[in-house]
Amino acid sequence: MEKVKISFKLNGENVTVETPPNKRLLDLLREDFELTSVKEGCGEGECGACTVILNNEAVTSCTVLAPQVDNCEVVTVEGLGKDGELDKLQEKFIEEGAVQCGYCTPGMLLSAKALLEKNPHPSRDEIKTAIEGNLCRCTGYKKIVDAIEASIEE
Amino acid sequence: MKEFKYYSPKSLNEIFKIFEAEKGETCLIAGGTDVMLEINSKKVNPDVVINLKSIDEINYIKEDNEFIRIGAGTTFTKLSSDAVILNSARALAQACSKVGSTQIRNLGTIGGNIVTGSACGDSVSALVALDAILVIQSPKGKREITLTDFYSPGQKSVCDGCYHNTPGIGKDEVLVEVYFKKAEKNEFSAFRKLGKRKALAKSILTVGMSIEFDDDKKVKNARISLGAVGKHPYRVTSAENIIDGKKLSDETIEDCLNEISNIVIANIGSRASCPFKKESVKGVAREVFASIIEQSSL
Repeated sequence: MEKVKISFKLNGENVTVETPPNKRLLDLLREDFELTSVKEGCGEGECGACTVILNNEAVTSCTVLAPQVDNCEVVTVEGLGKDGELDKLQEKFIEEGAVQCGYCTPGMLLSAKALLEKNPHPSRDEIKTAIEGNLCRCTGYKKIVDAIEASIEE
Repeated sequence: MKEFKYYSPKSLNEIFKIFEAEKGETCLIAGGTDVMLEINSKKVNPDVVINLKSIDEINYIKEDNEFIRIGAGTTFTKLSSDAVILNSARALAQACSKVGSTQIRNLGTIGGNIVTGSACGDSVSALVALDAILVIQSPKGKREITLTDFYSPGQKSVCDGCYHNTPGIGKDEVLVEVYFKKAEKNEFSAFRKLGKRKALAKSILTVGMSIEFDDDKKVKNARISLGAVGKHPYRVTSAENIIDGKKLSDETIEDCLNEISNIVIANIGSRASCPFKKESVKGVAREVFASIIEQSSL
């Protein structure tokens, strides 16, 4: 099969990769870039475990075809922290006990991050809408919303 | 996923050249929220996949004196927050804000919702109430068709690939725009959806309405659409006729709701969901009427 050469910004760095076109963004990130924070849950865009930030918006990477991100910007959890320091959102998730089994956490963090980048002072309802596409099988939603709320800059 | 050739054209003209050069089964992908699942599970097995996200000329919301025009590649997120849509086509903004989840609305496009041809496409139900017209382009030029005709069973089936649910679009055609008349001064629209939960819920039923009042607050022009109670969303003209020329009193609204319920029975009477839907449709439609009345009294 004819491979497709794509270039995009991944966690702040310009990358170029040749990929068979019949690959999901989810698989490209996990297999080609070893960014295993991106989880596969349902594979149908329903659970949000595979959420990444694509051009400043949260999207499910299982419903994006890998070559579609040519010339785009993609952020995964690996791109959240800087210089070995965790992002404030990540710190608050730890402090508030918002992580149970951890499987939904990367998606939750990125949905929250995309919201805060657009709207630095969201209401509790706006937070809930931002993570409405992220399922937590431990059902620890309250602490997740608390953690996002706690990370809002004063 | 089957092996396929991939193109990411920058313009519609480029797409038509690809159509001409490639003889195998072609599939267009925009948001991918439906078609990706079908390709991945091998329900759809294209030889060629063409990306529409790279085409800027189908991504816009424009208004002129008479119409609001929406490029087929416009996302639900954009439509649910756009000032023009919120002011002049509230039903569409409300419908788009209820699609899937935040992630799905960031990807999914109005054009995809239309051509996928789902019985319960949220934006489609709102667009039927807004009397929308589609602009479909091919190398031969553009043609226009009303959304209602697009889904009518009489349409000759010429579809393949990701258009497999939709009878109205041809192999060498692309849906490029959907447009509708701007709301008149006394015209208001609203949409409500019933799902099993708030987010990520496939619609159990949807009701869209657009109602224009005269100076005496009598209904001058009404369009009511139902979704998820038939193969595609459709208008219910006999219910519209009941309120035509009348003030929206409780009694008139109840008469209209009963007629809507009768239409649901006539359309899906044999389905197991009918006893539930024939009742719940009244509650959903009552909420839509309340939203219209609230907007009209401001």
